[in-house]
Amino acid sequence: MEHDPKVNGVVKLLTKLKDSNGSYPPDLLTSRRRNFIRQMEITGITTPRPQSQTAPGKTIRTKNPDNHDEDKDKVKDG
Amino acid sequence: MKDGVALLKAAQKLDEEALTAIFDQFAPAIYKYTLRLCHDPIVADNIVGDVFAQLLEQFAAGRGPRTNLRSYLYQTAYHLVVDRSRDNQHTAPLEVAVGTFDKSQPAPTQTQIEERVIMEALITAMNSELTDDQRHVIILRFLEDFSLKETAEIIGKEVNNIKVIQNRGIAKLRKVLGLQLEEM
Repeated sequence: MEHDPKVNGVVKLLTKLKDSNGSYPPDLLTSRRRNFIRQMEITGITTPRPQSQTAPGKTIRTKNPDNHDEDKDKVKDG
Repeated sequence: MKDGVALLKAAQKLDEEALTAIFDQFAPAIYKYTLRLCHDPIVADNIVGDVFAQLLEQFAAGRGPRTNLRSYLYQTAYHLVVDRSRDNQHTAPLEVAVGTFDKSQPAPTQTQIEERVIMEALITAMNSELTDDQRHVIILRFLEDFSLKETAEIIGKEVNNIKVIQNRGIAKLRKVLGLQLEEM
């Protein structure tokens, strides 16, 4: 199968897709990273930074703060 | 900079620097992977958030990956994407991938135009001809460079099963793209 030039052609095309774009928009990535650091504070892994309003170490359960779908689900369920 | 094993060990001990390094190393790749599947930047970003929230939760509970962190993160992302597609009752298309060819470049050559047509045909075929399993396996194997074993772990199937799914998917793409490839 590996010697079939058409199969190799398909695989070659697929590997070209690898280089296609889809890079993380910098503003989304920065905001996501900030949230990840905040989650570490919430779980008590890190000490909150002075500007943070969140209290550390109260709970182990974490939630993705920017995921509005979770809130939608709650409305749907409730 | 810590290597993969040292990074994972430090992360298991909830080392802030290691956890941040893991985020920086893997978040862009997980985003790209999920974007390929769900073609929505906001959904992809939310999935990245969920993947890393779950990772933190697992580490905080003394669980989480012991060896292959990359596979573990993709596995989490895979399940989140599958759950979302089930909820939304649609399959996950791949259309983002082609958006890539540099629209900013001036006049494309004939070869570039032909290549683009073939790539678009490939993406259309991946979306419309492949089963969900075939699409996931082909993306993980050829676009994300996972081994058969890793792909099997991520999707939760046997290696032999993955081989069959992969070969059927490739055969289907070859059939659909047959004419274009003969011209290449």
